Amino acid sequence: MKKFFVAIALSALSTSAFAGAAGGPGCGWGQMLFEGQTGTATHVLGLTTNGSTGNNTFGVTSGTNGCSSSGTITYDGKEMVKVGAVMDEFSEDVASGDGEVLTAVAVTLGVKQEDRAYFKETMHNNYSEIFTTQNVTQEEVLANMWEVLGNDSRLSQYI
Amino acid sequence: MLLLYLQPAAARADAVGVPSVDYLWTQAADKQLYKAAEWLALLHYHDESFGGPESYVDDKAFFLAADGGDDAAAELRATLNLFVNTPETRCRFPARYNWLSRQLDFSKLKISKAECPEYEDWRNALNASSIVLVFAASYVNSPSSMYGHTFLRFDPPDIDQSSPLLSYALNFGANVTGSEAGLLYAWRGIAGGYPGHFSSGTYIEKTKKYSRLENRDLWEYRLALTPAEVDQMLAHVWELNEISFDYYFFDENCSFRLLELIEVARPDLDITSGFDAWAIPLDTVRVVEKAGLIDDVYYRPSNQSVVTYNIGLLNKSQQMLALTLSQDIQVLHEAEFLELGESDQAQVAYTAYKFLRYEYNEDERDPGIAERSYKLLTFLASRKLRPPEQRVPPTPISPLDGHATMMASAGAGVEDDKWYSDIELRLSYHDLLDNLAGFPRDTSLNMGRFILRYRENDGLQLQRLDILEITSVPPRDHFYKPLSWQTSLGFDRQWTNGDDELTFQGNGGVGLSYKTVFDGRIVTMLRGRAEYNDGFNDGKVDVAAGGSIAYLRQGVVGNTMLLAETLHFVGGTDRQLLEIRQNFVLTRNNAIRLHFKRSIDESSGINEAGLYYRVYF
Repeated sequence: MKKFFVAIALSALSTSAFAGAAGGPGCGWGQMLFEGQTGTATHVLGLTTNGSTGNNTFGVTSGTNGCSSSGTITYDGKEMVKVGAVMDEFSEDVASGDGEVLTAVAVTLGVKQEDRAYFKETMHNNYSEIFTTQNVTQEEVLANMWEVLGNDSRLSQYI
Repeated sequence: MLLLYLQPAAARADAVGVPSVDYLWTQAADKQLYKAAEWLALLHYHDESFGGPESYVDDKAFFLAADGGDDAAAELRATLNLFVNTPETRCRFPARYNWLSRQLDFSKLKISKAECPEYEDWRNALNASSIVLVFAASYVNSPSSMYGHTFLRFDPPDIDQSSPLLSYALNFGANVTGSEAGLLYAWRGIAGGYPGHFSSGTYIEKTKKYSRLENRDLWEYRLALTPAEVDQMLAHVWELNEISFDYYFFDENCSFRLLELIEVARPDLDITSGFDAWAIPLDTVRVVEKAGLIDDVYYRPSNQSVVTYNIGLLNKSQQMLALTLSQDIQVLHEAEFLELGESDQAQVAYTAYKFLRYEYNEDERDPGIAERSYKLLTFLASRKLRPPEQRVPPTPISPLDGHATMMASAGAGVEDDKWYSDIELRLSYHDLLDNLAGFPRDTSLNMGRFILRYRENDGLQLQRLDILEITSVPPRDHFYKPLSWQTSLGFDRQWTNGDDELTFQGNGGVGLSYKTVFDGRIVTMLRGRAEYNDGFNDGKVDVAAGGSIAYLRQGVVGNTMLLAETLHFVGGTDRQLLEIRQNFVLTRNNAIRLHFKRSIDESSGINEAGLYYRVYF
């Protein structure tokens, strides 16, 4: 609980905090690093239908709570990849300094082509500031990331 | 029917110059637009063998005319009526409007493109200028997924600067609601008990589902469509928002619907008509390739493929070190690990990390594993890893380059000292001895296999009919511990009390497979079988238990299988089988196969040997 308030405080520092702090379960705000992946139990029988977890209407607008039907979230006014849903991939990319999810995050933040390598390097160098513990949640990761980027003169423009 | 619409004195326009429905309709009828390929594609029309052309769409909401599902002209007139008289509702049909506005003079209509904000917002958000057809290959140890699955991805113009993970993905699937029992669920998928819908998401969600949850490799085929064609397809996709189709596993499935969308984009193509009875997703991609529509191929390995590749980069002792490290973080501080060079340490730790995450992928979050994962990841963050492109396997042979999915074979041999000749037809798909290129190893999936045999003095008889046959023999090693399994249902012939009897049988097996010499597999299984057989001593139905041991070697030039099997029936019948089968690959779609088989029925042995030529088509 304490961590939760720290995260709130951190994000409040940057600007308006995130509208969806108490958002719906689909937003994954409390999604922790190294969460198990469920939902494969019926996959064999599901084969004949190829059903999908996608949305049956084609809307792309954000829902309430900063959580969009198209797999993005809004944090601090920025629409970006719902990193909570791909935390394994994201944390690995930050740890190794490159990767597709890290690129996707850079793209959604609007990081210009010429700043991408620097963005990745900065994220990598601050791995332990961003992924502070094994129990870090999506909202803490984003708050930490905002702090790292906000403290960087070249990257602060992107948050 | 049509004449009713052709009113002779159609007023050209009203007082302010808006053309009348009758006037536009007369123009459309003159040009026979209701017969145009573009129009018929937009309505999903196809020729039924009985009753003439009709639409695949089963949802009344899709049509404006009451009989729009089987009268393309009535639907065209109703569409014009909508555009003229209730322009505000025409935003539901941007593709119809796009096309008709190029055929007819809509300049005076009171509507302009900008008046459909919802559609325009959606279209702008997608920002799509090219389309990728994505093929999801099978997952390991689940041969029934081998037919694959396809869906579409829509990429923005600057995709090189952006990320495909952020692209929009479109899937057609059955809508399954509630919590139905598994088998009923599967059956209704086959029989058409569910409505199918298009659904959307982002590609990042798709890669999570396929690459990570299901461990299926993805093949991304970029389509050679022009931006205008992409635009028309998307406009039509919008028309299908919340429209339902009956979903059928075999023909009107995920992949077939995508072919229809491609025909909307390019109406002079006919890529749907070859799939009247069934549409194997792989075959639908091949048809698209044959039409020259594939520009570029990208292979996206599954998480498991990545783990396996990284294990393979290590030598034997490093592999064991990676395995123990994944179980015990203290290995990081042990001499055996510390003695490695920096890059080897990084690769061992990376492999350990990837394997650990893979192994507990489906489990509930566990504090101990989370802690170990975090320590490994933190170690990796302090080391220099191989660059990302060197941590994934190289592109294997594309599924498109594998053998064709139907097969016919002819051959001859000797059974019990008598000559015979066989013809075989297999509707789908791939067995353990078939040409391997482009198909997964250790995996067999066959539906609809018929063998007719002509024997000296006996005439023509049904030798075998496999309704369904599935075999999966993935090998176990230090890292992976899959079970092997096998099942089949159908008719075959068995020597019973001295006679060659046609049986109806279902059988299954479960066992273990290990890697062995010449990169082969040694597979042992416990087996069970239920059989209807006129030749049994007591009754006609019996069940048996037994076991088998096999050696399987799959390679580029050919595959080899040695099999020994024994079954003991409750009624007392004993049956043994020894078999050697060999396949030689001639070309991608040609092979020679030979076999020797000795069946032992109540201690008398019967030998059979045969040679076959196989053509995949």
